[in-house]
Amino acid sequence: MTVFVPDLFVGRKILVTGASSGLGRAAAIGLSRLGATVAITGRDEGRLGDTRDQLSGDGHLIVAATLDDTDAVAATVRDVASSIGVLDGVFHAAGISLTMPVRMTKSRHVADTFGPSVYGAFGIVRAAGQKGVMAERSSIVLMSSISAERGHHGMMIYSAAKSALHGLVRSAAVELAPRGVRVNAIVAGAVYTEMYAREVERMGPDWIAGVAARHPFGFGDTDDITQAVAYLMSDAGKWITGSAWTIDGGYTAQ
Amino acid sequence: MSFAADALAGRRVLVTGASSGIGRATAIRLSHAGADIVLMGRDEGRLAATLADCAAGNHSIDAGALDDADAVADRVGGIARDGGPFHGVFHAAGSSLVLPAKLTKNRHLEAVFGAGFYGAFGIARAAAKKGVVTDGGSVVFMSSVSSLRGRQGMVAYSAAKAAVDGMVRALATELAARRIRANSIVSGAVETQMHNDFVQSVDATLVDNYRNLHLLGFGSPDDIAEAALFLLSDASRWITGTSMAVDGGYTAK
Repeated sequence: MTVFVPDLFVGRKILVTGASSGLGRAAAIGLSRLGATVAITGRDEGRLGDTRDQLSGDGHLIVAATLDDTDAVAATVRDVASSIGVLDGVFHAAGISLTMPVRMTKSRHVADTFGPSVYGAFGIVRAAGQKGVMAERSSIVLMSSISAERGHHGMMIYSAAKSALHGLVRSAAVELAPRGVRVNAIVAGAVYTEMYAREVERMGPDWIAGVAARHPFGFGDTDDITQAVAYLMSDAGKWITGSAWTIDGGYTAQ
Repeated sequence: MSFAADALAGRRVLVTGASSGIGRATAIRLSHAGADIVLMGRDEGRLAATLADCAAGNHSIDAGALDDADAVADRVGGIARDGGPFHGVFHAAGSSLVLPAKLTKNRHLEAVFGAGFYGAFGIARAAAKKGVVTDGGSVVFMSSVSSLRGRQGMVAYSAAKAAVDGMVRALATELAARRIRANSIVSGAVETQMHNDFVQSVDATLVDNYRNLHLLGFGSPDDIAEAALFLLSDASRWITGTSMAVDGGYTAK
């Protein structure tokens, strides 16, 4: 994170969803180290506490919230803005990864996958469209995946959910531009987080080696995503909206 | 400023198209992040003017045409041999063209593919050789929303920019073993001298329509310079083979 000025986000308020672990946690910590006041939400209140303990500075907010319902998330975002002031940014990392063969795909698998990532995103954007929630030059970043663009065995639901975010980003960007709110997605390749560690247990070491091998640069680090989030949240990114930035170690180049 | 003053400290960066516009703004911006810049372009006088506006550093200029891949590869290789390898390259050299397909001849194609594509390829070849770009370095090529979207009069230019983006994907796989990343910036309409000349030569309604193709209006050279700095810095060390939209929302619509 040393490429940025250390006070990049001093005085700025950023909401991070999915902050219990993985990319969300790393981003919350990274953004706090750049001076941001962060509000963090996630599924697991205990692990949210662990995230909070690693944040730099003070004044941060833990938000217990339902993340998989559009109306509930919209209300949560409004409440956060009421608590800490208009938001300068939202980083939406909430979501689960699910591998499920098509023949076993059930309604609840679809709901569990679409809920936090897609329905939650709708809630964030809805709140962003209302008065008093987002600052005049603010930035929403949604986490997407190479799975949005490339198919894999067992990834039908996840691919569809991430792909949905791209349509959402484009139209949300169009509609929120007059409000000064930028909306972008990050298309991430495989970053080795707890989510991956759990998959290794199920799928085995050969599988994980195969995943790494499909990336010319191998696995990424959470910092690779955090730095792009910081860029898209900063003034340097002020002319970027409606885009999907691919950060994948070259996966989709091939 | 978002980036630290030492974000590229001690790094040598080649900037082509540094005589004017986006190349000039980027050379200056990178110098303020601590980079030592080699400025390339056609016009020695304007390169010197850009250098004069850079922050202090070990900078130099090298004037000449950039429209032949072999000549560019040789010259860049020679500069690296003499002064040390580059951490990064930012290739902004190239010209635009607005001309209906029915009037576009071979010589027009040669011009628009010249520095913009053949020059880019010369950079690519140089980067693939030993001793020109350091392992872990970064090459960044200017592309355009025209690569992805067609408009009247843009047939040749769209093809040239799509050629750059296609090149970047394959180049990234070839440079991966040395962790050198290759990316392009898909730029919308940025207010440079070239842009302003065009805008003043057409009627106001056309300019408004052109601006309104962008959700956030026209961009500034700094918007591209900051993105170039991001892609040349360690912040982007896992980004390769991509075309990053910095376009004011042009491609969202």
